[in-house]
Amino acid sequence: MKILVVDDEQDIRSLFEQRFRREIREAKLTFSFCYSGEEALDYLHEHASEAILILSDINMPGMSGLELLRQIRDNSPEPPPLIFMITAYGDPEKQHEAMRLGANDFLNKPLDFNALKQKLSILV
Amino acid sequence: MRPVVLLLLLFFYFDAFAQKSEAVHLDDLMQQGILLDKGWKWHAGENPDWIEADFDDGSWETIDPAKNIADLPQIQQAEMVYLRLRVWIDSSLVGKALALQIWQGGASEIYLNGGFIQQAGHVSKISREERTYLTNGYPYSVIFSKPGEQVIAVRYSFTQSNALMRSRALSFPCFRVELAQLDKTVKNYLDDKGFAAFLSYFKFGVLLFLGLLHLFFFVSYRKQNVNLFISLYALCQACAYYLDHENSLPIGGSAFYLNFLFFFILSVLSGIFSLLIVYSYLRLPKDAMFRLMFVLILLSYSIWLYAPYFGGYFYNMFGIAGILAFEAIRVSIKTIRKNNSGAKYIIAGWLVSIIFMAITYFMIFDFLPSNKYSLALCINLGLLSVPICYSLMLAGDYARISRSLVSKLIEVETLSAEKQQLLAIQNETLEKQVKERTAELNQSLIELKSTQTQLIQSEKLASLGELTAGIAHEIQNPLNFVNNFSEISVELAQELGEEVKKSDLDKDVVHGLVGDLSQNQIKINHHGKRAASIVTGMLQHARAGTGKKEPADLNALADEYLRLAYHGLRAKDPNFNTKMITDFDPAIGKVDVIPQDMGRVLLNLINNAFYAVHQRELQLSGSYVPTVTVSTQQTDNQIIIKIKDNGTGIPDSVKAKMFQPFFTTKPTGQGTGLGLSLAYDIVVKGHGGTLEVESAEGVGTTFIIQLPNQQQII
Repeated sequence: MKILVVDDEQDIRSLFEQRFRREIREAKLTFSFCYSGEEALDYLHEHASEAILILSDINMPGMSGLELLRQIRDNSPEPPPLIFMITAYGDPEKQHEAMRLGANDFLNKPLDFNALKQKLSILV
Repeated sequence: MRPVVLLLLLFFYFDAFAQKSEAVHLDDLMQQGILLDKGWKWHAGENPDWIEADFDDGSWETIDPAKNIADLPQIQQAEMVYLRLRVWIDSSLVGKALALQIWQGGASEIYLNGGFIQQAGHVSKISREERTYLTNGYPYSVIFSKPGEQVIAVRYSFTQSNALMRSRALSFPCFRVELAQLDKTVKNYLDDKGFAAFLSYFKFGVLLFLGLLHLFFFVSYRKQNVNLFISLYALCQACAYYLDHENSLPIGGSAFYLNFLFFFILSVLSGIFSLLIVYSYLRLPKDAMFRLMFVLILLSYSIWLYAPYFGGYFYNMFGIAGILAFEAIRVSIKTIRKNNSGAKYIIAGWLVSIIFMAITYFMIFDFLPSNKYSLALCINLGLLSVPICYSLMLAGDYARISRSLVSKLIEVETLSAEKQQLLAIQNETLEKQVKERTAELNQSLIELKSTQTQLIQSEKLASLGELTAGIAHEIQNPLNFVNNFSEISVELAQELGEEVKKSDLDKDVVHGLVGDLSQNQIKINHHGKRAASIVTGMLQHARAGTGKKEPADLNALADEYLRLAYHGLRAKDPNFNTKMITDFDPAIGKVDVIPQDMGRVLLNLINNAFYAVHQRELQLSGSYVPTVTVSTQQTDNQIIIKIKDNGTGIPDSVKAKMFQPFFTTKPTGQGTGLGLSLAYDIVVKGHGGTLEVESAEGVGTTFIIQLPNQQQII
């Protein structure tokens, strides 16, 4: 399963690669990383047909995660990717907004990688 | 003196019985003289023979020439006449110095027994050659050289054609003659004239004094016309009395004419001024009644001038006086009801005048006993009472005004004293109030300063609050990394331990694990430091600061606060997003600033920029890209920091006030209004720089901080 992680923190890549090193090693999961919403849109444009799961941070400089979500849903790529939104703040309003824009799930920072692994295992 | 009966027989020649008129005692002649008014014959025309003693005048008509010319129309008509009188002179009178005391209104030549003895004026039947001479009782000496019948012949002319002179002369006797003892008559004549002169000059003096006095009053205070009128009235009267006295002396020709002309004019004027005084003083409108009186006065004078026989000289004079008195009393009574005390003086003056004039009349016509002194007293009191009362009237006014002024002055002084007292009390109260207010103000000032300090602190706290959200995000991220990497490191260490225990030790795996472990430690350390530096920054921002300048990396400072501001705003409004551009001049290096203060300035300006673009974003849609640019630049002598946005821009009205404390455009409760004010103080006062703004509505705003370059430490 291909997963696109969108976050402005560069070290997120190292974190994910180490956290999911086994899954990566076993080729259960493949990770791509974008460091801004704009970059993510470009990536999706190039890899439109890949069935992917997008994990996106909400608070980013430039295009925010919610804006990214809105644009992806507006573009309606086929098949529609699963989108999980991540934010540092457990803000109900923001969650509601994300849901309204078509987010499939919602994750809180700090990321509970065990919970994430569980969710991904169901999907895989 | 032995009473000797001296007979002066007036012989009426035409009577056959040579009528002895009456016997007169020498004492009578000595005492008062004899009026020769009986036995006169007259004839019109000119004939030198008519003076002769032996001329037979038996056919002539009799006449009483002592009458006024006005009452003798035949004389007026004839113009040139001869008068003849035959008298019997007792021998006791022969050689005695006797006097013929003469009053006349024309010109005369007197002959005794055909011989010329005296001339009064110049007799002529041609008017321009005639010279009227008013003898006014002048005593001409005469000596009878023989006893018995004597013939007194008078060549007499009255040709006066001049209306003025004629009117005056008409009121004089035609030819009145008294025979008396010379020395006694001369003495009496001189006494009379002297007394008359004294009275005239006395009146002249009194009236002149009053005239000048009121003229002075008028000149001193020109608003009171009545002073001028009284002055003119009194001066006219003064001159008139002076001229009247002159008239009472023997006078003739042009002197008489001019004298009387002026007397007449002055009389008319004084009458008019008298009327004006009353009207002016009583402040009456010069209505129809005034005009009527004016006309009546002029009419009276005209009557006097052209018809002197109508009532005669005195009657006319008193008629005019009567009109004036009537009018003065009438209007005074009218106004006395209005409590005008001056009117009483007018009434009193005229009443006194009327009373004394009445007494004078009674005396003249022998209804009352009199002598020349009592008569003079009455006449003069009658004449002077009016002008004196006019003067007293004004004096009374002055006195009343003065009294009123004095009382007012006292009132004013009392009031002023009271006021001063009041003022003193008020001053005292005021001082007390001022002290109280000053104390209150001082207290307020202290409170204000304290409030200001609190407000500044509030502003710091507010900006701190704005930071907190951003800081939370900033801190949480590194902490997440620290947590995650440390957790993974534990896992990696376990894996490494398991791997080492294996007999088939895979060195590559071990290396990989160790590499990851090592890298993780570095990351943990990096993110730990990152969190620490954020906390340090926050502490630095919150604390009062040392106020000391220290070398600081302005670029780093700007970058840090840009991020903090951004995250702060994002924390509040997750939908908010903006493009942030930084353009830092690396040549700046470290600059000597107060980092906390400069950070506050940057945070404030950046927050404002975000706010502006956010506001604009709410107004616009679609293609608008909110952009905030922070740039630094070094010039020869300056460090320039620019915070530029493409937000709403600042209206001119706001520009003028935005550096003022407590000025804010943000909704209530969202801004303290101190941000820019503090920023300005920090840049200008704290760092000797400038803080300027360039802004255009709908385009954007650029705040420019310029700091002196000498602060730079390389």
